[in-house]
Order: sequence, then C-alpha cells, then structure tokens
Amino acid sequence: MSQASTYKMGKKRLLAHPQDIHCIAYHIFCLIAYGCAFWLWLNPELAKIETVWDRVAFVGGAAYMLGWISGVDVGVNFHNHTHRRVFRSKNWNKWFGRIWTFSGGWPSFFWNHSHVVVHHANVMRDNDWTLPKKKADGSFESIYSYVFFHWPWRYAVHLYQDFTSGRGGRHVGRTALKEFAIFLAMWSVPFFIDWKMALCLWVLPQWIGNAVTMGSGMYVQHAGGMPKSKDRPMSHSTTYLSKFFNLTMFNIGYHIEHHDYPHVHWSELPAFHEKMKPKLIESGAHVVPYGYYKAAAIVAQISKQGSGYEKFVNDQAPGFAEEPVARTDERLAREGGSVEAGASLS
Amino acid sequence: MRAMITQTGWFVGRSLLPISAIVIILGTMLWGPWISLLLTVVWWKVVTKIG
Repeated sequence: MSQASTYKMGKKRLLAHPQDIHCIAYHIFCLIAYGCAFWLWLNPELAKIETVWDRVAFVGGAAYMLGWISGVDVGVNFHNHTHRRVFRSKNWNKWFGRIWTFSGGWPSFFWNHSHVVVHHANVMRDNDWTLPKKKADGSFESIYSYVFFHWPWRYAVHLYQDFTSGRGGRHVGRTALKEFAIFLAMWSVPFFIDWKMALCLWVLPQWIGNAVTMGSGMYVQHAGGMPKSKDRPMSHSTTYLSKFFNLTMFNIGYHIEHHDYPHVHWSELPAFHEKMKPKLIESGAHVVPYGYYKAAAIVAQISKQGSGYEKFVNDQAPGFAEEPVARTDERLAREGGSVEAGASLS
Repeated sequence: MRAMITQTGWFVGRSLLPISAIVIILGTMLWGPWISLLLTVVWWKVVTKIG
C-alpha cells in the first residue's frame, strides 16, 4: 500500500501532507541514535571501550554524528514544520514540536520565533539578527566567527531582548518562560542518568548541531546576498541544485524559492523550482550546482589565491550563468526600456 | 511492487543521515570505537564532496 493511500485511509486525520511521514521518521531515527549512544556509554564493554582513549574515540565519532543529524533535524526538518505544520491536530503540532527540538538544544517556541518572526520576515535586513554580522562592504563576517560566536551567545542576548520587548506579540515573554520551563524539564533528563554522558553525548552534539551544522548552513544560504529590492528581488539567498543534497536535506537547497514562497511544501520544491527557473535566470539569481556542505567547505577556505567567500559568491550553475545577460539584453532591446524585475510568479 | 521499491528508496534516502548515524554508533559493538570514528570522518568527507 502506498503512503498516499495509508494517509487517505487509516491515518487520514493525522498528517497534513503524506510526505510529512519522512519528517517524523527522521526525528524518530534521531532519537533512536541518541538512545543507542547513551546505551553504549552506559555499557562500555559492549562497544569494546576499555581505555580512556577508547572512550574519547567513541565520543568523537558518536557526538559528531549526533550533532550532524540534530542540526539537520531542527534547522531543516523542524524548520519545515514552522512553515507548514505536519499534523492536522493543533495539540499534536504543539507537543510533537516540543519533542522535536529539545534533542537539538532548543525550545520549539524559541526556534520558531528566531526563524519565522526574525529571519523570514526580515531576511538580510539589519534587524535579522539570526544571520552573520555584515562588514562595511556588505559581505558577511568570516564563517569561523559566525560558527564560534553566534550560537548560543548572540542568540541568547537577542532572544532575551526580543522576549522582554514584546517582539513577536503581546504575551511573547510569558509564553517564552512557559516554553523554556517545559524544555528544561525534558532537556535535563540525561543529566539525571549520568552527567558526564550528558556533557559528552548531549551537550557536545547539540553544540555541533547548532554551531557547526546549522551555523554553516545559515551562513551559506545567504552569503553574498542582499535585501529584496525591485532591481534584485531574488538575490537574498542562494539556490543549491545538488540532487544528493536535496534528497537527504528535504529540498532545503531550493532556498530562493522557499523564501519567496514559504508555504510551498518541501516535497514540491523541485517541481516549483522548474516553474520558477525562467524568473530565476532573468533576475540573475545566485544558483550553484552543489549543496551546503561543499559551499561551507569553499567559504571556509583560506588560501593565497583569494578568499573562498569570493569564489563562492561568483560561482554559478551551468544554465544560470550566461542566459541572464542574453535574456535581459534581448528584452531590453525588444521593449526599449529597463527590465522590470520582481513581477510575481504566475 | 515498483511503487513499494520507490517508496522504500525515498524513505531510506530522506533518512539516510540518521540511519547512517545509527549504523556507525551501533557498529561500535562490531568493530570498536576507533573504526567508528574513522567511518564518521570518511562519511563526512564523502558528503562534503558530493553534497
């Protein structure tokens, strides 16, 4: 039986979209991975851990894998839920959301606020504090500064300021306090089992997930971008075309499309991208043939030949590189005037 | 049958990263923590190359 028919028959009231089963499966696999790591920490003889250095090797491998998937689980997977709730029931959405983000080191309400109220509503503007700081020439601070100084330090300061100033609604402070208490109750459980385990296989992976995975992802999504304007309506983000990347990352690579049309379901973004392609080409959008991983490796390069940042912002996918100029020139000649960018997608 | 294989492919593809994490972590019982650490580094390098 296909997922669609299961969705229609047995569980017709549970999921908002049949493809959201993948979001739920991803998060459950993440929790299982944490459970396996905890179990082996508590039973080291099963994992052939005999010395302190064996323990260090185990933590190195397990914490990195856990951090990697946790960053994706919150920054991409839960992210989809903030735009389009995966369940049809309000209570399921609220509680699954809370359980979704605590393993990534976040109260769901805080992440929702950072992403929807701060980032999406103000992308690339000065009041979007989720993004890297900008230099005088408009380029981002280095990826290393962003990774090491942004989460949790700058996040904590900005979230405190937002929640105490009422950014996001009248009762935002009260809701934030309640959600933080619920988060703490769930998040503290590993410390009661074994505090050393909690530091090595809970806090450390969450730092990796937020600072390294999510931090570098946020960086490359908007590096080289600028706030929306009539002339550059699609230069706020970069779109990534790697098939492997988009398969394993819920199509988050189609980022220009996502920012402009956040209510398009993540599973429909590849088809939506094809529909938007002429507009992307015409507006000179930044589109690259790889994914965030490779992009992060490029911007992190410090070489004698010039910075990786410059190389990245000048990269362009084949088919998106030459056509914009030709198309624009053609249209200018035909219309005898300037190209009016920013028309809505029909 | 074809639909089932396609659905399974999508399922494994979408959850490839957490499934690989579970395999690497549980695999420690078979090959020990050092090989798991090595597999983590190799897997990260591969994904950085292709993604």
